[in-house]
Amino acid sequence: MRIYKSCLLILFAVGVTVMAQAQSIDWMGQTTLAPIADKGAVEWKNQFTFYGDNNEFFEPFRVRETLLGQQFNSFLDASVNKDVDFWAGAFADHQSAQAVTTNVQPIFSFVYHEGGSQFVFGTLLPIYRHGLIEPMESTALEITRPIEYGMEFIQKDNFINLDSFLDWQQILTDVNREIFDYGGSARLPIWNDITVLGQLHGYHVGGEQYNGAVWNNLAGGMGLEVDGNILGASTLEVYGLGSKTTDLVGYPGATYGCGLYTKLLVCPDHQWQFFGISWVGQDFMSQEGDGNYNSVGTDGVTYEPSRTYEELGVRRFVEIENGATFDFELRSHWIDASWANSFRIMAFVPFDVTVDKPKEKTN
Amino acid sequence: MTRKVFLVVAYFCSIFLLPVLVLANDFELENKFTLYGDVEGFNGPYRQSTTLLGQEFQSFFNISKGNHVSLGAGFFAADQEQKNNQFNVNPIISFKYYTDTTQFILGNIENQNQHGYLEPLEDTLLEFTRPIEYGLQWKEAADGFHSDWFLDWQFINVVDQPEVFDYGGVTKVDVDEHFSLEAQFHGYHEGGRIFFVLVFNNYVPAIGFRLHGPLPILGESSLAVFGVVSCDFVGQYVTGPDWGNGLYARVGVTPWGLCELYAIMWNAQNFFSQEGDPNYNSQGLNPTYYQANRTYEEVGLKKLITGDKGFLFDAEIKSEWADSTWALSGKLVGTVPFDLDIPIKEKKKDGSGNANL
Repeated sequence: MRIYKSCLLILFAVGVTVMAQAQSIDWMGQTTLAPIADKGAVEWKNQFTFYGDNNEFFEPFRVRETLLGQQFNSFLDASVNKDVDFWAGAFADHQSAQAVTTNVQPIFSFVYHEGGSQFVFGTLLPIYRHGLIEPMESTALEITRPIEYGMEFIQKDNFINLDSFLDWQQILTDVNREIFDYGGSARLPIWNDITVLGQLHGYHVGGEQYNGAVWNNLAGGMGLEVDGNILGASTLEVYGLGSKTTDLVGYPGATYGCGLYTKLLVCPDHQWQFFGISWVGQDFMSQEGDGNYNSVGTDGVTYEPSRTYEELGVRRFVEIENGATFDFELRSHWIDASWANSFRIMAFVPFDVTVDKPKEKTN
Repeated sequence: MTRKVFLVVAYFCSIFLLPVLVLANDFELENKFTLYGDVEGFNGPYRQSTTLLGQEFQSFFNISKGNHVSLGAGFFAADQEQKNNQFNVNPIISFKYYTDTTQFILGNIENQNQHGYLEPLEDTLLEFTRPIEYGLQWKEAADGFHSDWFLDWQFINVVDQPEVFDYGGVTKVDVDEHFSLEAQFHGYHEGGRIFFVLVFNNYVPAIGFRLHGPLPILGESSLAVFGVVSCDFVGQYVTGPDWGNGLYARVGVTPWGLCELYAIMWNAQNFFSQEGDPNYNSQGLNPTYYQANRTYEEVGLKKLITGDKGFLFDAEIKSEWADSTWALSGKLVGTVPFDLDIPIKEKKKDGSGNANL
């Protein structure tokens, strides 16, 4: 069955990819500013997202999962003045199935922007998990948590690219603990093709009112990126990461952990991306990271202090027409001594509408 | 109205009520009413007698993003009269990439005529019981070549509910004007790893030919012969062996062009298709009832009237013999579409994907 389901979906995705015209793309993980309206205008921003994500993991570290569905976000972006925008609208997620509940959530945001700086307060629309790498935040969150609530500060200029955030997931009640995660990514070009990288992700469960569990997980690290030209445009990223997990009842591992993450990206023709990831970890744990990088299994009991993980993949991002894009990714995973495959297809169809725009004065 | 239905309706409204004035490029509102009645007279060991009577309505905006991409957004509503007037509403959201000969679809897929499946592979009743499907689809339509392959996701894996999907397709190659070769495959899967439930699969491939053309007096005539195989390695039923097979033949004539008179003959051993017409299976409704060698015959009259702008009227009456049991069945379907072209003044683009009032 693994073969049939995967083959069907992969055949479909390859077909779409081959048929479409490719264009060059930005690398994943680049800091992206939130969309803002023209000065004084009111714009209606809409986007349909169609997703399919399948993995065939049978190991104890990450759950085997297939995600297939559609998402829609629609909001009015009103430029209040030259530096302030206000968003109001809704987000809906419908998983492909006969009898499922459609999840609808509000979009309300205050956006302050000046030059390359942005402060978003309210609903966040994260791009590529705020630039966090896989051990810090799992790529599945792009589908399962496409919007967040909290605050975000983005700085994008020649000095630094920074995306920092606080995402409030659950408020404290008599039956629920408060849950939030926070952190961000930073890129600091220091010399020609060399960039210093920083990553931080924290996860907190707690709340002072009502007695209950309080525990924290923090993961972060520094890295270096070297851009070059090996078989086309290429990038090598190396991160040293550390993690700390405190007060988690029943946690079978050590408080502190560490890991070395290496990723090589090669783009031979500015259309296809080929990438390889190597990971060596020791007692590493990031609560929202890809489970394949952690030492603890999904059951919370299985524990492997020394972990290795490798991944090879290919990705193609295609702009079809009028902003409609198609994204296909195929990956092969080596999790300790076992092997698995996964892939993702996504289509994005935006349509933005200028609802109201101030007329220019004529003298 | 339940909260679930309310949420779904609210969701559709958010799409449906998008002001008609503002959306992008070519814009069309497509609507279709369908009224149907279906009586399956059997009350034998393989299927129970069923009467379906209901209405369906679908309405969605078809938005063209250019020459190769279109978007569908709207809703589908169905009401079966014997179900206490409970109104089921489902979203229609689809992404279609298309060229002159190819279509790739994500979201709501196109499942008219059950993708062209033979009755042993997919029950014709699914036309009414599962009128819309979600998943992905790849269709080809070129001179002498037609293909429709899909994945239909039925249920997601949650507590006490395995993931369920079916998949497969039909490919037809025209050898000449009157003769074509055809291959079909239908797969059905129940499983899912997240909540550790029983996994089972059913695979049903078929291969055969179709011969068709006009004959004196008999009018437009056709002959279809298919060899069908079924595999049910870890099935719901453990009564029969894993492998089964069957021979399907259908002959039809249209004397004086009035209506089609057809006959179906089926002979099978240990055949089982999870979503096929149960009259073709060896497994009965009762898990302990199993008939290794099966025969099934059907003789029917069918009249299809199609009009301008997609109007359709389909009437069928058939007499069926399953082993030694006899029954009379029939169906009546009327479909009335109406599409509205909505004039949109497209904004001169200063960026991708922008439109204007």
